[in-house]
Amino acid sequence: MSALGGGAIGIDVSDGTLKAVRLARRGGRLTLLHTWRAVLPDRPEGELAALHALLQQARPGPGTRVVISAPTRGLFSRTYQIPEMGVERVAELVRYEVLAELQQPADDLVIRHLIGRGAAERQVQAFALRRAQVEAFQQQLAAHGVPWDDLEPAGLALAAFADLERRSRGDRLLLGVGRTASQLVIQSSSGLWLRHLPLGVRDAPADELAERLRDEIDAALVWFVPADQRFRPDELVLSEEGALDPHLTGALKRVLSMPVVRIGELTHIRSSWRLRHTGQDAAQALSMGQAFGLALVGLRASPLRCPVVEGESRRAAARRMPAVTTGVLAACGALIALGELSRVWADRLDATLPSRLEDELLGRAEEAERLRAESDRLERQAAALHDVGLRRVAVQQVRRALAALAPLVTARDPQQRLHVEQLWLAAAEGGRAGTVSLTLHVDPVFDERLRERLEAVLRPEFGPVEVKGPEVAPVEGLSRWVVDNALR
Amino acid sequence: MTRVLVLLLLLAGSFGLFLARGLPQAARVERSASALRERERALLALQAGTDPVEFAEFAELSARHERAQEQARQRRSLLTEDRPDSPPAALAEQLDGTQLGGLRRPSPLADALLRQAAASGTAELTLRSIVHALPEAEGLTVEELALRDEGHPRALPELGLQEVEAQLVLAGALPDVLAALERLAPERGAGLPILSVRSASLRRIEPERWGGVVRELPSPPVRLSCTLAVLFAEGDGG
Repeated sequence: MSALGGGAIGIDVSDGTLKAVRLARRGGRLTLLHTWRAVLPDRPEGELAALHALLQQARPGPGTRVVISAPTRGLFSRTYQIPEMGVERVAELVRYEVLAELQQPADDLVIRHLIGRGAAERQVQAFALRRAQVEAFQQQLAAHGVPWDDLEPAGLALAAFADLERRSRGDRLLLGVGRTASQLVIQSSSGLWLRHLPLGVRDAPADELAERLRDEIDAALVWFVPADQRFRPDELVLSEEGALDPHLTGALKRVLSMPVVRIGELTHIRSSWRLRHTGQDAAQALSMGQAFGLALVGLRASPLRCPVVEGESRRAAARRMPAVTTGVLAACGALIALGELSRVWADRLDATLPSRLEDELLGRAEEAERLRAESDRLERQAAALHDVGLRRVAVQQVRRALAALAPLVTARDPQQRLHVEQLWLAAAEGGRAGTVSLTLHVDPVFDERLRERLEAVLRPEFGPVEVKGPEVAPVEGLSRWVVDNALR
Repeated sequence: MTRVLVLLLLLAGSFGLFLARGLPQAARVERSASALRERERALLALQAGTDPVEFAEFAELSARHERAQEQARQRRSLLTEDRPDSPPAALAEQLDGTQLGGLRRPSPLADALLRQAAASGTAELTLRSIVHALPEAEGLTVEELALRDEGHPRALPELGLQEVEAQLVLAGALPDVLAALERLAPERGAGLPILSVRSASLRRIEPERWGGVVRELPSPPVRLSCTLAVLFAEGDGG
């Protein structure tokens, strides 16, 4: 069972028998875990001793709400139709109406009310109990060390159980006939009334008890239901010890002009497998409508919750303990985590765009500049070294050039003059290509075709060449031709 | 009650811990955030003031640098790496043993060369390398060989070398002159110093200036005037 309050024990001691039910709630699912039933001894404070013994056995933790039936002898019950107004104003109005009707000092009464829903008006059920009686019961509970959370009217609990297991939109009566007392609940669309009847199965034979109960019901209807309102009950729901007595059930059917029914099975509450292992039967729980209702109130599963007295503050505090513990631990964790997170964030911030990045960027820019300059220098050096290497190629061009001209020279008539006057070679340097220049002195007879002949012999070796001429040579009677060839 | 006390103690302890450690850390967060904003401003200012280098660009620059370095290294090693060869003999020894006209001692040019060689180590080495490179051919005459700046090397920062410039004038049969010219070119694996021809002029000699030597030549004589650049390693000097 959840320590956060998933369970409740409803204990009914209002009618001479101790009946207790333990329910659990997980999500929207209700489970019956255990039931207890014991006839209360007639000796003084017998019910308190039985309560103490039961709770010693059940050992409810602070997470389990213990709801006990409140003493309701002399219970006053009314339903008021009140215009829409604030909750505090409703309480004030209810108190005024009840006190006006009972004509008793306010300090002598415990007044409680339930606010129902309504469109224009609100239906308010008001209850009043004798304060002395309630306080005496509280003192007895405390004296016997009985832990409890709420004291609820048993009749209201019976109504809560019947609403859950046997829903009805019409008028009906609920009658919980106990061993020494009975609870009468009148349910109609116009109100809800409770009455404690000091009359139980122990007090009279079934037929006589049925007639006396009929009289009480008639009197209550006259007393409670306004004369201008019709009350036609569809059924009477019988519960508690009376429901276990077939003679009483039969007698009630005979004396009442309405169907008498019992809640034959649990439809909205699942029975735990543990119930069978403890030799219990879900059917026997059917005569514990009031105890079921009290447990439902403890589980906050009933809209008819109207505690006569709120529970012990220590138990309430203990119930809040897990939440408080969780909250404190969460706060501790949050404080420690905040410190740690701050450290982590600070580390991350310090690591983001570190100072060395600026140096790195600057260094990289400088390094890039150095690399560019160094690469330029190395490329120039490589080019210059290449030029030096090309000087070997250049000197070989002299032989190639002369060899290329050889056919031209040898093919001439020996009487005709055609000779290479000068060959000029300049090696490549500083990005400038090397050049080979040939200066020829020839007889003018060659002038006409020499250009094409020179180009023809030199082009295969050197590609396109620049041939300039003829000019007048310094040697008399000869023409001067110059062939320039760039070495690529 | 005990549980309440324990919880109270726990809460008080946690609060104390928070006061002792959490609050200073929270203050540190504030300071770190402020410092981060400051760093961000500084970075933005830096970005505005400098041209940021992207990683890809930087990687490309590094690759380009490596390529250039490797290329320069390879070319340099091709030109400068030594071949296990016997070094040229001393200049005086070469001048004593050479068959080249004009160089063999005793001759005014040989004396001049020895004087130039005495000026510095690079001068001596330059002349020794040039004389060693010239082929021994009959009729090949060295008419002039002179070092510029008395053989003091000139730095070539782009090459990482230094050079001594020399002027050489040769006369002889065309094949011999061409062979001499080609011997003066850089050679792979020849090591330092590197001989190279910066410029050369090959001229025909007018027949009236041939002289008697022409009878010994297989072809008409030519004159080669060339400017040589002899390259040394940085630091080599006289």
